[in-house]
Amino acid sequence: MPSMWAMMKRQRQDIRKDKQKRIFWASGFNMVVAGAIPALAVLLPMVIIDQLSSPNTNQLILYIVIFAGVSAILYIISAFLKAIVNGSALSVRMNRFIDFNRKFLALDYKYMEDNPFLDKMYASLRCLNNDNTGYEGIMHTMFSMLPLFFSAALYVALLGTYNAWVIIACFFGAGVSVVGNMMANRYQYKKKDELEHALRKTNYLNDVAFDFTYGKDIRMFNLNEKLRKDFRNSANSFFKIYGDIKAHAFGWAMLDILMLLIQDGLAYFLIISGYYKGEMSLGTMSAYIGAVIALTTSLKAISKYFADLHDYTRYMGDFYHFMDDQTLFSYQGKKTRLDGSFTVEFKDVSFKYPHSDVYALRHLNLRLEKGEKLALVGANGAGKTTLVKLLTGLFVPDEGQILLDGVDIKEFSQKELQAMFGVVFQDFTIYAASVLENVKGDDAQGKELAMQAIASVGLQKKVESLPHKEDTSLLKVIDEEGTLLSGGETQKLAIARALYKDSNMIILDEPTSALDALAEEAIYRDFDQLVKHKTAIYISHRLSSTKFCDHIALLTSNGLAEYGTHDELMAQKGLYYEMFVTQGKYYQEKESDHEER
Amino acid sequence: MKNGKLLSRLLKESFRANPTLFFVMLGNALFSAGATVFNIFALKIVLDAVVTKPLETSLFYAAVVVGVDVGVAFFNQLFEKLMDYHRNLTEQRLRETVAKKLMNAPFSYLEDPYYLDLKERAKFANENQNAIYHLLEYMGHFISYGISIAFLVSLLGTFDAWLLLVMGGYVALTIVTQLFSLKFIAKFYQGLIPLNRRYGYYIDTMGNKEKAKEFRLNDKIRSLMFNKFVFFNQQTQVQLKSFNKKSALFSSSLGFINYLHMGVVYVLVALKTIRQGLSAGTFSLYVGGAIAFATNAVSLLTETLQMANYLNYLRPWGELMDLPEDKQEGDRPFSGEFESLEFDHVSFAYPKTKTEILSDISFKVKKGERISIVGLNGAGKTTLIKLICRLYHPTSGKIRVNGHDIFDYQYRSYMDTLASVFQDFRLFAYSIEENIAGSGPDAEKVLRLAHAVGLKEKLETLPNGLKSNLSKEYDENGIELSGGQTQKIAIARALYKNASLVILDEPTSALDPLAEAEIYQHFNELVNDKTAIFISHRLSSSVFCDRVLLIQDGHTVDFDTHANLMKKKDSLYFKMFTTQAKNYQLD
Repeated sequence: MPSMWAMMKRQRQDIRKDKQKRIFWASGFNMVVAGAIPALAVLLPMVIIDQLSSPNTNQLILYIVIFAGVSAILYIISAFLKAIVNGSALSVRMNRFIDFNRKFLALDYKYMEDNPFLDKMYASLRCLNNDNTGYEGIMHTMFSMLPLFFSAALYVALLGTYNAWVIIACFFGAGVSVVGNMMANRYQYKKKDELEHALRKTNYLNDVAFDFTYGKDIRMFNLNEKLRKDFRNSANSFFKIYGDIKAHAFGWAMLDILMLLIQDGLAYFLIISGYYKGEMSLGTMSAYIGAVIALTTSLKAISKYFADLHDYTRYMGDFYHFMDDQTLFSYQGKKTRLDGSFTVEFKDVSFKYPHSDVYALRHLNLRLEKGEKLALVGANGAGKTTLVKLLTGLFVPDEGQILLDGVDIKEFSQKELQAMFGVVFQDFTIYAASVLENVKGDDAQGKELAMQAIASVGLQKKVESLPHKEDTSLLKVIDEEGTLLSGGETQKLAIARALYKDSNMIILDEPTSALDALAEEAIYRDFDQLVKHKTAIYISHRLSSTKFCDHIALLTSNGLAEYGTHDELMAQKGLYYEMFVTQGKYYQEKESDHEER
Repeated sequence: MKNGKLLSRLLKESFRANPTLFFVMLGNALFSAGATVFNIFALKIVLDAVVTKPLETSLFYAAVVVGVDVGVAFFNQLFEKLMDYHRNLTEQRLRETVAKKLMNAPFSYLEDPYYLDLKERAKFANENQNAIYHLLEYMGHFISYGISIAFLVSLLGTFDAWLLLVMGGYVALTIVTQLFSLKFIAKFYQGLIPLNRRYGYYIDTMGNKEKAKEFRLNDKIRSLMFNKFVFFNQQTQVQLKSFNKKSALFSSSLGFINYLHMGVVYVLVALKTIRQGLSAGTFSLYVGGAIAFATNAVSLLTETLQMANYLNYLRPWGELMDLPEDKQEGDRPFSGEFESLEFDHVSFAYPKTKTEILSDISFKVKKGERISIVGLNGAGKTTLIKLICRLYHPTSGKIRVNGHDIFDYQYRSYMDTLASVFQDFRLFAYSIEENIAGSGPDAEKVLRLAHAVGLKEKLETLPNGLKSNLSKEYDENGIELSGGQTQKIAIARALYKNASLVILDEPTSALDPLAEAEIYQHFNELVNDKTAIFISHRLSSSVFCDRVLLIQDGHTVDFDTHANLMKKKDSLYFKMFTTQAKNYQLD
């Protein structure tokens, strides 16, 4: 667990890197400016009260004017320094999101399917969550805390000229307060997992109510009351723990109060006795009393700020740990991409998902020739999508090799490897950007190519009917006037995106599941045209799509079960034959009546 | 909704949700006010005593002051902890109230873009701004400030009328400055909301592991989104920096006014003290009192204005609280089984739209029939289902079940007759068993259905079997299921319900042919005499149905057996069927 000082030192590095050093000098300057203001207020009685017995009111008024004037000027300066620090502190925090996401996007894909890793990673972002606590909280806390040190020093100087015991009592009390605060925070930190767990459940139920896509099922299956009851129960669990934490903190605060008793008692005793002994004037006495109160308050505030700093830096450790971790990228390859279509070979490939004991693929051997169109079929969970993730380099096989034109994919740089594949996954996304951007990303040129891709999937007419044609925004979240496309249209757009890429190989995973019969047929018919000479893999449940492919590979949980052309497999009368016949059963009947139930 | 009304609504609902809060608030306010008043008297007591009384008496008075101080500190701590706890509790209970309203609202609100946006803004108010928590905090302060200020005004008023005038002037000047400040803040935050929403979209998209595959396999898409994210990140920084600088102008003005006021107060009280020969203790009492008044008055004003800010954020919440509850009209209990369904010249356009999705639809379904609804994307099939499920009222025409308008039936008794697997069905982060059966599951029936839909093999690999929790939302041992497996659970859920009309909208789209065949085979066994309506793009399912309802552009074009429809060689149905069929021909 890295120390508080180490974390703050790291943050100072971030601040320098972001060229926000103004935070340092503004806070430093403010220490004196803001620290002086309360000290002036404490000193004022010293001069005024003694003047009350003198008839010369001019001097009294002069003192007051100086006090008010100087305080006002200092306050104004402090206000502007605060504005500078607030703005910069926020910037520094927000820049960390940029750093984080840049790293997140570059991590090896395998971490995206590694839930324990993801949980830890998201937890590390906690420190960046808001502008009051955590990462940014440290900068604000320092800004507020430094002046207290300065004031405290002034009070100590003042009281020190009288009696050291008063100061000692104050510091002792503050020390106890620090310990108390830390103990309370430590208890809270200990309970944080339990608390978060209870909170997560409560938040989930809240999210379900707010997520309108649950609405139909809630009404259909009469789930309102059950959800509400569970919501109430999990909230109660949360508050049980929360109440416990608060009670604990209250207990420690009692120590504080005991100290207050001792401290104040001692201070009053010494100072009042001193006045009676004639060691100070009335004005000085009231100034001393004021100083004791102010010193106690300052020290207490400082100790609370320290506890806060300690708390905030605790969460930062996780964040820096993630950012420093260099082991999260495994791509060492340097080769540039191949030209034209290539052969693909899986050589004795075996693979297990992170934290899994079961092999997703075992000793897989498969070969695609240049320009071959392969249909990949099989039951859910047989490994079809896994195969694609391995081929595109998202995952690395545990055993065996994957070769493109004889070259192991590990040898290619990640950038070059991704350029060779155009993939449409089952769970593709349409982004809140224009139609054109959804196809070509932020490629500066390529508009013509993109428009060609759009036409080749049959979206030309639709795009031309849109208010801004290909520059029309999609989704309504960024542009309220954005357009929503139907399920089928988005699927076509995703295919256009893959085609645009000018990759050597195309992979389509269930690309027509949301399309009606006619639109689906249009895709099949044009498939050859769409992929031209590229090697291609086509994954689908609908075995009707396999007929236009060169070969079919049937995967089961035991690996590659059958491989061949449609006719070969049908002749084999194996699993493929069974699936094809079953799915096509009802299409066989033409004029004859349907089966009896 | 005006601020005043919104605030009183909030207070009313908070009281209903957690009355204890208000008692704690009152107690806290009394103690806070008491502490403020006590503090300004404390110094006077000591100063007067040391000038006139012997040492022992002075020490005694000092001891009393210290004692009261400690007592006040004790109660402050107590109330602070209690207040924090109860504010959080109240906020949570209010969340529950809103959630309940959302779940009970008429369904049409859930597909209305206005409400979709409204609920997001309501969510933002609470999660990002803790609006309710702060508002309750301020309400507590108000009581305390109010009591303190009332007391101080009377104290200072009896001392010197000029003093009251000066304090009044100070308050007036501060109000004016704060009003300008408020206008400025409100304008800024208004402008920030759309920026926040957009920035939030990019942050969510970046950090979403579901998008991760695509970002790694498409550099241009990744850089498109990343650059937009950076842009909005930096825009937010720029806006806030400028805001902070301008705010400083306001706080400086306020500071200037404050010290000006303090100077005048000190002079006034000092001169009076000298002229009337009052004690130093009296001097510090009135100066302390004036400063305490100023502090309280300014805090009161500042928090009023901040309150206005939070109320702005809370407005969507207020609107949600006004959501009507689904009247669920109808008082005829539905008894017996489903016998017939009739659409009688039904037309429908979504609320607030003009385009008719369904036009003059008429057809009849008898008990025990299997009906397949077929049509191109966007023809209106799913809409038809929503109407049967009483999610919307037809714009014109009537839907009848067993001869009566479906809206005549008691809501729950009608819904119990239906069971549906929607195209975009959702499962919950409960156990598989609870998802299928709800509360109080009949374990044997659940197991039977789970096997019937083909989940036996998967269940055998799970250590907790049917009791495994779906999703890792709050159970680290939770499981993630594939699309096909969740579809099977949704089907089992519909079958568990004992409904007499079963509706399935693309129920097997994620299943491979063998799994799909298994479902349909068992389905026949399980729903033997029930009536069923299917929607599927795979027209093969319309062959084993009794009749096919063909929908084109919102009209019923035909309603006949598959065989008869296939005789019409230039119909859409024929075209769709043969297009799909030709790829399955065994030669």
